[in-house]
Amino acid sequence: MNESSQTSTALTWGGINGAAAKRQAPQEDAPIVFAVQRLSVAYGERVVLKNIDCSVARGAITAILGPSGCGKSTFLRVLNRTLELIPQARVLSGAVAFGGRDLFERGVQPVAIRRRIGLIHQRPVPFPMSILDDVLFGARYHGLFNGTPPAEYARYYLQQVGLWSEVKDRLSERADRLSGGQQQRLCLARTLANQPEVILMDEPCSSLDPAATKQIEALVLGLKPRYTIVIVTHNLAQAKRVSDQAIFMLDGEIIEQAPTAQIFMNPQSQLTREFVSGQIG
Amino acid sequence: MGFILPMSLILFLCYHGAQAITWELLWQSPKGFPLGSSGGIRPAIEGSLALVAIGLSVALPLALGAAIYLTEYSASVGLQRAVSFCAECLAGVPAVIYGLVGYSFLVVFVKLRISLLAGGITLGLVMLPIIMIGAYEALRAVERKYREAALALGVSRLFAFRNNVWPKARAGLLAAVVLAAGHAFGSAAPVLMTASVVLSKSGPDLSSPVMTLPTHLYYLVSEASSPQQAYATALILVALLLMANVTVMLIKGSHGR
Repeated sequence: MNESSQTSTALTWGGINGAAAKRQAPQEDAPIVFAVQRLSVAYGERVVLKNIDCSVARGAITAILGPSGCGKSTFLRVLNRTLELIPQARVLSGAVAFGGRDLFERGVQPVAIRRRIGLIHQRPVPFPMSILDDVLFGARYHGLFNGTPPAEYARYYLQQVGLWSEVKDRLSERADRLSGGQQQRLCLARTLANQPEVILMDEPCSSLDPAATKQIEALVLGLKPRYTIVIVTHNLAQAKRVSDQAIFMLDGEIIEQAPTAQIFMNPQSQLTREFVSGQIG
Repeated sequence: MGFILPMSLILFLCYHGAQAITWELLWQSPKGFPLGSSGGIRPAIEGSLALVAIGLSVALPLALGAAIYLTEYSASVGLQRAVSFCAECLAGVPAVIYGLVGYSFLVVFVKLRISLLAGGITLGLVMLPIIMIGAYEALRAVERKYREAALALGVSRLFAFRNNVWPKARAGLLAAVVLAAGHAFGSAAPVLMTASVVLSKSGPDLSSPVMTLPTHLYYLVSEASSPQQAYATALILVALLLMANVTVMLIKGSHGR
């Protein structure tokens, strides 16, 4: 990268981070981002989350582990209020405190919550538009440019996910022309461009090859100092590599929450022990 | 079979009607006795195009609005099923019934008389269910993940629809519109009692009756005066429909690339 582009990157850094820091300031001290209390969720008549209690620490990477169908993805959707986009899904009871307010309190705008809490889906979803427009999709809607030229703004976030050098000459190409790993990083850039405080990831590597997985994992670790990250995975090795805290779920219930090292080395529950040793799941 | 049948139909029409297609046929009014045995069919082409244009301006906003509401805003599966069931029933109603409704309601009750406006609205009713079903299917064919991924970024439903769903559904929507317009363009029954006249001397005017291609063809054949003129008229009708369909195919093709 040449010198001039580095200088302008530094400028953009200041502008964008400054705005993000201001927005985050009020809750900076609170060590807990999400406090979940007795949360129950159902799809129609089928209860998929049963009386869940847990918490997510600020600035940490929390992994949610468990076999398929145990309610991990549903839980993530509750956290950024995209659950209600699924027909027949509803919160039966409980509360999720976020930034001192209940997520489901009257007057809380789901649209605002979704900007502050980004969600990366299992399979990357490139939008039917150019790479540039895709990165700027949310930021443009929310008016986050703050005077930064859109192309600069996009470049900053593409650099954050290590995609800039690969796409800088093809920004006007359609986003779905990228490879799977590139698409997933694009989705991450798009979410980061929304200036969220929390990033939720729903098995972000499940459709990627080992090399792309490694890249995403490195990115997740790199983002840790600035974001709170919750990552759903059924890949135990991945959870071990990236997370600080781990939550083990089974059949819609939380069996155990503890620091990741403890979950793997010294689990308190017999079920957790069986899961981490590969006997269930 | 799917290829041979339409091709032989077109070849048959060409064989009988091609030599009657002249500049005069396309640009002049019908003449002679019985009427239409010489001269052209220009007022019929104009009338048919005007009827379809008015029909589209009635049907398109209603049908698109309904389809968009059902796929993007309504959470009720029951409503979606009920509306699509009704639309499918409507699409199955014989064209002559539409003509009858148009006549008794628009022509007589609303006192629009036999006119371009009455016929255009009637054709709009014919097109409404076809466009709605096609648009609904085209919108539903856009996978949910595009809406969800957009909404997960905190944008409004309208923003997500405009930028993510619309571009993906556009080709399918267009195909539905052309299919409906073609169907309306070629049907005689709905306009026979609401809009058409054997000869119109002026250009299309909302409050006057118009000539149309299918009804002109019907008169030509029933009078058995000049089979060659009839074949030529049929050929032009089919050629216009074919052109519309080929255009859609090209648009779809370039969209898919």
